[in-house]
Amino acid sequence: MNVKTSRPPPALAEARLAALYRERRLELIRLAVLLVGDRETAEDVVQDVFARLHGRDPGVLTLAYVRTCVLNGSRSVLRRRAVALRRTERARGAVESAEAAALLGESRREVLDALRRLPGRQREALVLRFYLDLPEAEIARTMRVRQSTVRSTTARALARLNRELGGNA
Amino acid sequence: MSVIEDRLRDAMHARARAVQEEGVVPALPARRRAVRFGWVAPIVVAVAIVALVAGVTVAVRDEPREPVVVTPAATPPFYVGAVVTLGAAGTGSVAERGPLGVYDSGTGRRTAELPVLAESRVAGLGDGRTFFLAGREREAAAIRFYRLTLTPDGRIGRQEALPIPADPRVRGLDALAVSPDGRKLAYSVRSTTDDVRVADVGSGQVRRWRTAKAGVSYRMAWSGESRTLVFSWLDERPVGSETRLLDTTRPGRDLLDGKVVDGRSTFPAVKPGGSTFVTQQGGGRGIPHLVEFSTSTGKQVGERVVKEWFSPTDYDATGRVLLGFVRGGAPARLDGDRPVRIPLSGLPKGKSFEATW
Repeated sequence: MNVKTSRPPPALAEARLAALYRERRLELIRLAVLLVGDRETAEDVVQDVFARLHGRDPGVLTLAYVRTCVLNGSRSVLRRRAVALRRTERARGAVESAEAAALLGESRREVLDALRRLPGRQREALVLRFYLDLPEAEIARTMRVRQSTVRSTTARALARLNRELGGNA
Repeated sequence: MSVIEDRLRDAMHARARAVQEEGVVPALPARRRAVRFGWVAPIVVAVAIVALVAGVTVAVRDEPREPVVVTPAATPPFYVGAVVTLGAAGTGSVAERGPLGVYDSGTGRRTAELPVLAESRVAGLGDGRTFFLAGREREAAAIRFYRLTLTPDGRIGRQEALPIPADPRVRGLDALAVSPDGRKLAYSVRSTTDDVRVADVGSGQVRRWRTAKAGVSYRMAWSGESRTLVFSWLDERPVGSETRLLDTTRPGRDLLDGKVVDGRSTFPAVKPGGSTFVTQQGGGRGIPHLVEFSTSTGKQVGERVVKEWFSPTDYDATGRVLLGFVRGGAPARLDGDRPVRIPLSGLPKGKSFEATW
């Protein structure tokens, strides 16, 4: 008996992956930069994500899915940094390039520094909400949490930023 | 919309706009072989709990002893070490490392100071004369590698920069090990992603291994035939430490592709010219002991009960004497069943000492 499989040919998945990479790579690096703080790490996160997506069903290869992967990859990098800081004398986390810092100006740097000091989930919620302008439902899907959690996390993060930036906000 | 939301949008978009394509867009990265260790997780958790309980038992039973300070036979003649301040209790982290000095193994006298480099790491060949140093000369400079040869009276005789290419993305090294023939350096890199690299000291050619798993390779040593790397791997999830083997002559780039030797032991010291290495285990019987493993099979081949807590760091070139440290951080040598403290003048109270020979 012949059994027909509904699985698409691997070539289709590879073509879709290549197209996603070609068209969305920079956008994903920018997202990762806001999460991990520096370009080099962000590029590595995105490269790692794409290296792991080979062979996936083309049905899952959507921008939303890849964004979730980038989010998870960034969390992983930040956790590794935390482990390393605990285990060794590593003194620095992400290092912003001098050029990027100069382009931003004092006021924006202040906001981004405060964003970096937020707990990971709060930072993710703000980046997805105010950088990507995603609706709550999509943020919830990307972060794999409930919408109510997105609402409360965003509110707590904004409150904390307001406190940190004081009268300047 | 609030002012803070406006500022957030503006700052994030400005930061994102600063990221532009630079040069040629790299090709789609090749498929990475998945590392599947899901089945290991429950075992590692169980082993970690056992190790924790065993460690507590050892700590409770280990009564302080009077330090045994003798003047041992001076082989190897010198070692290199630094006074370190440990970080938060229980983390094993180093908060501060003092300048590296050369010390006489017999008298403990300081004979020379190594060049002061930031993020420095040092590895000895085991002869007490040849040392490899890595570090950066200035804060913003790349990590460079050097070979130092001591004069017969323990001063710096010759200092050569090695032709290993500088990688500006490397922020520091977590571990450095030189092969017994002095031809290869293995080092664990703290970069945008952590990896392990092996450099040919003569040609500067570098090979690199990475892993998809989160963790740090924080200590390493070469096997006798300069082929297999033994390293301590700190796994982040689930948190655990294990000793692993990596055959550096085999193809492949996966750091964790090799054998897991043991989930309880750390800090390997490899016997030069031999095919075994030892690690410290707290042991379930409350007696700290050293366990010997084969570098070819990864299986335990021997065990040695030591009468005092002793963590080995290096064998000497003859493979008879182990350098390590005792509880409290003082350097010691082991060629019997009890470690003998190496005289060290000027070790401040509460500080530890890191050494290699």
